[in-house]
Amino acid sequence: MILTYLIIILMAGGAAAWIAGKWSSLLPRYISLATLLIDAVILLIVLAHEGLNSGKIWVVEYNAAWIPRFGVSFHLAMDGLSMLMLFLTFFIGLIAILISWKEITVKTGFFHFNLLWILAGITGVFLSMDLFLFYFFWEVMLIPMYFLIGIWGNEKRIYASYKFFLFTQASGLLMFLSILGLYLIHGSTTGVYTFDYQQLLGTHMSATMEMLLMCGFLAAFLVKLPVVPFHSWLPDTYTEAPLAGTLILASVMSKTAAYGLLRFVMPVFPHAVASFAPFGMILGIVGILYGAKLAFAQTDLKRLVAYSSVNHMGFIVLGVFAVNELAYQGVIMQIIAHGVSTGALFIIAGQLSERLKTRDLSSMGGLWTQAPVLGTMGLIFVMASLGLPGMGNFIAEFLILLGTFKSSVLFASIASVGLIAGTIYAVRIMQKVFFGKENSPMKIKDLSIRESIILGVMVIAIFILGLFPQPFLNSAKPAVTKILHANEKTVL
Amino acid sequence: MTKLDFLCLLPLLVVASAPIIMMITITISRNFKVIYAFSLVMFLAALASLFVIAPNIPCKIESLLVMDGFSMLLLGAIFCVSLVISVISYLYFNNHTGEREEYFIILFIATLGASVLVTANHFVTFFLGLETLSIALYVLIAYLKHRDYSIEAGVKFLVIASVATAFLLFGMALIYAGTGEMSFEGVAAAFGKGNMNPLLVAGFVMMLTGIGFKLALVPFHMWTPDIYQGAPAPVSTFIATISKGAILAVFIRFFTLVHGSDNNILVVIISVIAILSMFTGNLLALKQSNFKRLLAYSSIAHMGYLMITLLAGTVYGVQAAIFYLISYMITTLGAFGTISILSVCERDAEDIDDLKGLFWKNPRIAVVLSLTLLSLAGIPLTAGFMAKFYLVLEGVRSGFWILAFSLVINSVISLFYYLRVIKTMFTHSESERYFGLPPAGNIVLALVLIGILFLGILPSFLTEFINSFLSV
Repeated sequence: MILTYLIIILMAGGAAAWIAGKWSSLLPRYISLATLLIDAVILLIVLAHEGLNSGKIWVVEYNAAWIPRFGVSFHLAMDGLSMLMLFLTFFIGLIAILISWKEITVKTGFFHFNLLWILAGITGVFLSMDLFLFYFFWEVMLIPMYFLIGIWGNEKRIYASYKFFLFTQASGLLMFLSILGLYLIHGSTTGVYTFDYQQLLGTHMSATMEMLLMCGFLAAFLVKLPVVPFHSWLPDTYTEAPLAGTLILASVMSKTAAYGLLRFVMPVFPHAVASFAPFGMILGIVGILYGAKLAFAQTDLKRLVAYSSVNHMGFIVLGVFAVNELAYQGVIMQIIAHGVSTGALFIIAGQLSERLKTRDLSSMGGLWTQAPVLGTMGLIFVMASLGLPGMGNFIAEFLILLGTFKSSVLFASIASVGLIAGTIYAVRIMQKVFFGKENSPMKIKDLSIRESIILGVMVIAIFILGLFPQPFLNSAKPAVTKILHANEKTVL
Repeated sequence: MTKLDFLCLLPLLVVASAPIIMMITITISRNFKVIYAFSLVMFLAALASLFVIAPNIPCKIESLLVMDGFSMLLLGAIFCVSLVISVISYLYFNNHTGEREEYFIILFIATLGASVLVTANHFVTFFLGLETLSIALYVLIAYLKHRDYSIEAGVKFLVIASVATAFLLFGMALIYAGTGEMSFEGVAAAFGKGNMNPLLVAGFVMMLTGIGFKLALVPFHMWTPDIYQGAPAPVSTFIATISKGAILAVFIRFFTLVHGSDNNILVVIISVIAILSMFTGNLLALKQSNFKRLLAYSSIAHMGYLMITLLAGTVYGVQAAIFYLISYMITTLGAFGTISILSVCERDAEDIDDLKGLFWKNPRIAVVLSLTLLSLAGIPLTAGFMAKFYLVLEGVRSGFWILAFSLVINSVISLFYYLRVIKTMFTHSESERYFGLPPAGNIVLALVLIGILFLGILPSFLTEFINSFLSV
């Protein structure tokens, strides 16, 4: 039941924030902060109370009938993997609220309503153990995001919000057809019509059918992640969304797709994944190299960071289709580390464009002398992004490459080149923005206390991830073995 | 006819008595408020009469009419929707001058036609109900005769509906010639012997043409946008919900009785019609700048979706159809209800641009309308999503993957224009026009809101309810 509360609190908090917005523009902010803090505390209590290695399949579980007629249940469950995802979600959520404290000035009530409902949808996605429920939450997070982009975004917001909604909705519907197909196949072979994840594991079906159904799931996840060639919505959406929206999109929402790949695609369609794996890894490598190349070519700072995201997502796809424990641990680390580092880069880009009133790289340069704190933060996260040892991304990418090496030496070697490509665009950010000749006549202010605290916390987070990764790996370990084990059981 | 038969006819008798009493009242003294209050009472009485006859179902009145779970459900839906339409109509006509009282008389006659349709079990009652409905609609459509499009719309509907009726009658005649039967059961028994000869198929296709006109399925859809646009907003609401719902209901009853889904020719024809309707409706809706026309095209697509349940040919299919119909009725009430509430005396608030800035000027209306549109698009948390899910599930279960696929593609296409309307609501506008909302309007919007969310989050209540009625 506690898991249901996590979602209900977010939704109720959102509604309260909207109503409170009528009287004050400050009240919704505090309500949202409080809501997220309550959720985070609940999660911590659960962690302290239950521990992660109790040997149970799920740390906490809640199952109730929802639409019994179709075998739909309200089945929420949490293991180490979901818990990590939730901590990331609430962490980024808090940062998103703090970062929009000054930026968002109109309709703050409705803004925070949307923000919290997106987070509620994402929380639901990370907890659902019923495929129908999963799809339900998958869609719930879209509409508020559409509003967030469409109302508070930059100049081309309407176009961006359309593009985002249609891409994700269309691909989501394909997944829904696959879910229905799986449901019917399972029903007709066993006589039990259910959407429950546990029961649908190990459904027998023909190889072609399995491949077809998996493609439906892949459509949704690869578009959302996104993977080249389905990435065309990403730069527009990430660039036009308000800062808080970009943050949630890049740091959490794209991770729902990575999570979906691990949680649903791998265990449910093991044979199809095995035959698709080489193509999957190629997609990953293409993403790594092409993302880096495009990032290098951008002149718009926010777009550059957006493409760097494509590059990092490539590693996730590569790891997912390497199908072994090392790679999976790397994927999970990458999910968290990318969430923090790219989030921070977007914040820095946001601060710069707010001060300079432009995102154009050519009108930046030499800003270090004016804003040394901002510059230092920039340096740290750029280094994190290119995978410098000591920070989270290094552990993640290293593990993924190691895992890939076990599956395919060739792919691992090519992917390593991606690290160099990553370095090139990352260093270019520093060069163009903070070093070199001053191109802007404007004098900019350095970070305010609020901004320094936000980024400072993220710096600490990225170093903890890099220096003490073991607790994170440990908490995800049972989930990883479970995913791989479900796999082996059906293969044998 | 026995006493019991009369009892079973009670809902129809209540609805039929209302216009007579109203006519007498009007001859004595004209009062719009009194007539309005009286029609609310009569619709409530009709609803109550359903509870009175509930213990006696199923019962057949000769071979003409049948009161079973199916007709009870749809009668309930029709009366509820009519009740709400009366409220909307009152709000709409309240700022008009002239003779408005007769509007409610005709509304009752139209409702009577629809009620006869959903209880019909015989070609004669089928035809009778359809004509009662259509003739009342000619008048309703052209009711505001001073408006530009209103007479045009009325005449157009007259011509189209007559053509449709001719097709329908000819089809019925062919089937009668082939089977010697006019009651649905008789025809079904004759069909059941497996002698679906070309004559019967031709008759069936003729009937399908007539019904296709009435339901506005492609290629018989051309009239819909003009009539939705020309008719007063509450009348468009009536056509979109009750009129189409009732015609679809009688068709479902007939089609399932004769096991039309076992006949390959019919299945192919209906599949093609369904797919064409989905694509044509949605693609043509994309470029509309008039909200009523947009809804008209979207209704063409929705009727296309509903054809899937017909093809499923199972009792589950029928359940899905009723669920879809009810959620579509609630949703459409929300959409047209908003237009009616926002309309002024001179013209309806039918341009999408009329909605500009609604989100900031009157958030309550805007939220309900957004939810309505999202429900039409089939987004989770709304009734439309559950309805579409039910529909696709039954379609896929019966193996109609192509139809399910085109539904999915069309859902995406339809998002373009639904989102466009929502987007318009939150763009800022210069006009300072403020939309006030009377209490009755608030209640209607609240009902729609609750209905959409309730069906979207807890559909089990309705599915079990439908199930319990259909098993009677």
